[in-house]
Amino acid sequence: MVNSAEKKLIEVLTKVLLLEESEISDELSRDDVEEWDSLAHLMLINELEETFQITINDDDILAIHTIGDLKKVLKKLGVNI
Amino acid sequence: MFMSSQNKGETSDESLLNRILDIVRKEPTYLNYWNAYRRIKKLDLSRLQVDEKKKVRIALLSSFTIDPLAIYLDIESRIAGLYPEIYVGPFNQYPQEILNDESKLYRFNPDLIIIAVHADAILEENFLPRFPTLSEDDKKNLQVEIVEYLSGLLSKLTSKTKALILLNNFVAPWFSPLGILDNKVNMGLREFFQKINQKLADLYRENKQVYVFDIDGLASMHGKIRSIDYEMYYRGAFFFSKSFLPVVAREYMGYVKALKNLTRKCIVLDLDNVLWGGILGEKGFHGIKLGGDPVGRAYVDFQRLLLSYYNRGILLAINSKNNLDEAMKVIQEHPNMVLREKNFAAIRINWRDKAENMLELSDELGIGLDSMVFVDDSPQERERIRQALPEVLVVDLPQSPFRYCQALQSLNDFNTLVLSEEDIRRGEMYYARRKRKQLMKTKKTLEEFLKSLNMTVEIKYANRYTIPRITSLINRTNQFNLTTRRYTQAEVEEMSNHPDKFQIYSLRVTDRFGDEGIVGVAIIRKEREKWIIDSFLMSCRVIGRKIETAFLAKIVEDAKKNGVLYLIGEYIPTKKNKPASSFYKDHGFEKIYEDKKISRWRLNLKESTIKMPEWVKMKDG
Repeated sequence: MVNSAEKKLIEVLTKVLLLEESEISDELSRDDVEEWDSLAHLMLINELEETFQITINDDDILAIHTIGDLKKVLKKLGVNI
Repeated sequence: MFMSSQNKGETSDESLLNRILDIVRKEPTYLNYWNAYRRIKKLDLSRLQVDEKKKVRIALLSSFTIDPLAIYLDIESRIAGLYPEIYVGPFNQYPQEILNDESKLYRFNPDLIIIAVHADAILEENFLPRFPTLSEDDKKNLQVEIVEYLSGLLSKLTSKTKALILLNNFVAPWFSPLGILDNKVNMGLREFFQKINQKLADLYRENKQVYVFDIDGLASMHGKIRSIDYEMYYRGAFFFSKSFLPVVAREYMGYVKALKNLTRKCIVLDLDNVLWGGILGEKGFHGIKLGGDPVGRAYVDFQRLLLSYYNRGILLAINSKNNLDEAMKVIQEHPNMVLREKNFAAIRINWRDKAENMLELSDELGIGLDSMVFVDDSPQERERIRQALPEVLVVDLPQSPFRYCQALQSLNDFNTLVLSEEDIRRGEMYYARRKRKQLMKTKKTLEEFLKSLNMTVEIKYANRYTIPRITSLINRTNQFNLTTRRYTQAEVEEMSNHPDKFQIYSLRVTDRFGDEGIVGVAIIRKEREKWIIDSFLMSCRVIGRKIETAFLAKIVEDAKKNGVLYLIGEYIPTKKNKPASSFYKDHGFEKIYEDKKISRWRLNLKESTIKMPEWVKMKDG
């Protein structure tokens, strides 16, 4: 089962990075996704901050390289995924 | 699916494009704009057959990250039915882009250039801390420097391109280190920027190419604190917050629509619960809400807003299900009505289908459905028009009349890049036209009707005040135009500066119903013994009133005074100017030459003359 926080994360990822839901995996990295440029990276962060009402640390923003990294940061901030 | 893969063809790109846009139409979030923009970028739209008139090339030059605005402008343009190409200049390199003749900007060949430069990019970095220590002269010098810097860049830009240029002004900060004393010292921080904005507005007031974009006013409307998102500002040099972006984009779209002639010209109004509260048929003349109580006052204010549109040249019309006599009595006699019969260019008050009425209104006014706006409180009527006539802009009128004004004020569809005197008086002229038609029905003969109009015709030589209107008539008139020769304003000016060789006449008509303005133009080429009528044209709205005869009579009179022997007329047939084909023949000219392209006609001024029609009064200018 996918909970509502996961659903929201998937919506943001698919819409910002133009991915199909089936393409999303923890290993998927910035190098694999053509659309994941620096503008898209900031867009992603901003949308997630707003969706989950959190503030992501700026060092973390730079360190996020894969979907897995991103999930780890979200979990650390108490997002239930 | 029903469609086989071979059948998809070219339309599949178009329908995919529409499906993507539908998501934004339904849920206009930034996330959806972003997604739509990036998906459309990946489509190959080069196969689409696009009308050149629907293409628009927009360049964005900025001192900050302006890509999010490109997203909005791209999608909004597409929703407006356009096919945009957008160029975003490299980050903070606007001066190089403007100054370098070979820059990508110039190669892009834009129709519209947006220049968004933040004050921080021009002022030295310690401007704010130093501000309280600056003398008044220091501040004034700085202002001059900033304005000269920008105007220098703009004069280069205008020398290189014909594009429309939008120059953002500066957002005056809401904060001042001087606090409550900001307007007690000689030029506080806010005033420093307000005065620069004023200087920019004054500098470009008369300019036909550069428009100062009031981002300061827009930020005030939105809330200056809300218009910037500091996370995004520090992380990526974004200046417009997510909530401010659509507001900015909508304002820019006002210019894009004006540039691409997507201008709405007529507001078609329902009556009950639009111009007044309540159903007239149920409440009666004294029962409807108009003025007095809070709801009644909201309707009066809405009418005042509509009247302000009318006074800038937007036509108003009525499309209402009501009894005609009852409704007209309110419009004519109710003490709190702001709009009166004369403010409506056309009226349909009946019990017929509103879509049919709309078609008739469009026909009567000679205005396309794509220039009309429909305002009705009934969701069913709105849906009916949306379905039947998708070109009409249907306003989503809010439930509460308190919010009516705001709904109309937020439309960006009434913009034009210039406003002529004729535009401003358009409503008046349409009313007069309607009254003339009514009068004609009461008269037995055309002559009787024309006499009763009390027409006055004023014929003048072209001067600097009338040349813009004369040029516009020369280039727009198709039907009653004998030669359809087009001239630019510069050419008209050149001719009017040589009265030994040319005579340019303008004709203005006034009658008992109002002033039609300048509706006729003639250009005479003078030779030793003959005058040649190079151009002769009349706006179609005055055709059928024998004014053309009066115009010709005046030219004959002047020619005789100058000892000219022959007046030569020319007719060059086009697809549209059939109505003018027998003009010279009807006025006693003899044909002296004819081939497929042109016929020439001669009037011997020793033998013949042209009588001034008795129902026209002449006023010499």
